[in-house]
Amino acid sequence: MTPNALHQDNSRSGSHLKQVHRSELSMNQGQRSKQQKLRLQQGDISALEELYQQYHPELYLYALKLTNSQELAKDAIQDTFVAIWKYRSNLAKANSVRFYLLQAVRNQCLKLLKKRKRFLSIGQVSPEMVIHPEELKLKDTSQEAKQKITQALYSLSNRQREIIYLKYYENLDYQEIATLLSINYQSVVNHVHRAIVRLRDADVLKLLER
Amino acid sequence: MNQKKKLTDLLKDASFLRWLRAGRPGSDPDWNAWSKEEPNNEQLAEDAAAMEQGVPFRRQAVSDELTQQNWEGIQTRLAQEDGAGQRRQLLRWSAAAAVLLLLSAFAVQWWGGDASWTNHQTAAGEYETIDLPDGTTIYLGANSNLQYQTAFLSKDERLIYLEGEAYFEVQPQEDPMPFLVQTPALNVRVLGTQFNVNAHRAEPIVSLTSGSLQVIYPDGDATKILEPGQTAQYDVEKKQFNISEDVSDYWASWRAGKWEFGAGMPMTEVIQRIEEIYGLKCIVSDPAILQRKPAGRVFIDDREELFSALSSLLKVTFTVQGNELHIQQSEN
Repeated sequence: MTPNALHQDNSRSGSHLKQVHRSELSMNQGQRSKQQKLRLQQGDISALEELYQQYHPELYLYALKLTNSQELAKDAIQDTFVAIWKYRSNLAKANSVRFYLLQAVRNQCLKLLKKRKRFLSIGQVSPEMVIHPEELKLKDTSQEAKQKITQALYSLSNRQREIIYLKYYENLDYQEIATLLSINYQSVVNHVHRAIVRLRDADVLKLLER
Repeated sequence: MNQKKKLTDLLKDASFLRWLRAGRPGSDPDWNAWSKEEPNNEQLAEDAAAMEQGVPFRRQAVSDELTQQNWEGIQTRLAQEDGAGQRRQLLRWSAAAAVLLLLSAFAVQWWGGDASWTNHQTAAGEYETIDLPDGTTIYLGANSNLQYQTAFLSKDERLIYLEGEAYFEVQPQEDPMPFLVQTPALNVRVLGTQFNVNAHRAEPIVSLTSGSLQVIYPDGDATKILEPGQTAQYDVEKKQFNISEDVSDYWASWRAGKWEFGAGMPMTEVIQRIEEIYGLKCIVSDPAILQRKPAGRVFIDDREELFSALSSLLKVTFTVQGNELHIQQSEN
């Protein structure tokens, strides 16, 4: 994987991302999403393509994050959309299409990771989560600062990094993360709390744009 | 607003979050007052603010070519798989099962009986923080049950009943009222102090972090006063307490989401702990595994993470089958 190619800051679309994520709440968008689901259920393939165009970038990036492999991420995305088409009545029932899709992508990624030999035992199902300082908005861009951030991120557990990513990159709320990872609400809060306190104690939070 | 609040509750409270976002203090007199009530509250608010603000990620982009390529791949696949799809019903059932499982994973709390006891029960692999009306904090470990009388402060004794494991931070009282922890096998009597009780075992283990306490073993008619850093386990056969000086960090660490093994923890202890916490029966294929002594620390907040850390630390693999956990040598 070549992380740098992906690290172009797309701040123009970024600033609207949160609104786009929550767009299903607003009236017009909600109406559109409902119609989209209906058309999908009726077997209209153009509804699948619309859905794909709307969500592909973030779903692909999430798959890439989980698998650390462009090849696997691509497979996971294709598997996901094929499955969505097959089981399209389930999507129609989902409250949040975006969350449903993220969940589906995660399941496909874990399935693919499991297929690879080294993920055989159950202790290793959890994906390896790497976060580079280049993925964060830095106030201090010096080498020393990046080094310090890398060390602090490395000192977090894999689970903590994954949850940090879901909370602050994907903007999922605590309950959504709990559902996605099949752990309880309190555990998610504990993970976020511990991770943030750890980053703060390592003096890393002040190196970030906040 | 004068009760002790938990982070989980605070993060669900819209007025609290508004106050945080408005850059406390100033915006909400009630929350301002709350934050001054005790030093811990200010810390909680600060932590919650840091959590709300979080870590700023840069947005990333994906090229249009890639988006196009992947779509073509999907279309090819759909053309191949056209016609399949009678398994929807099955998927629906498994989703329902997942919801049930999730619901049962949450701790239950109920009020019952005329003496009105409050009951806290944790499931396998989870723990819960309980704040008592007198300011004492209890971290209830996995697979454990804890009860206390709801009218806690009106009694002349603070009585807790525990099955399983818990870590206590007992608030010292101006007018000291005995604090008593009862377990099926032994009792612990304390004044203000911090300690862990593991009563999963027939021979329970009591470990003291700070303060002082008295361990009472009613059947053996034995008592022992512990000093900070000491850990006691009663030997039923020899009718005496075995005292260790170097494992109190280990016994205090689970509530911070990890196990501190220090220089090396006997594998038998680690296995017993896994059995207690997850309700699994461990099957070890090779006795050589039992000779290992993991050192350092592992995170325990969830099972997969713990097994993953232990498997790389010990060069073993974990496989769950029903309620059995098979531990085997790694192949390489």
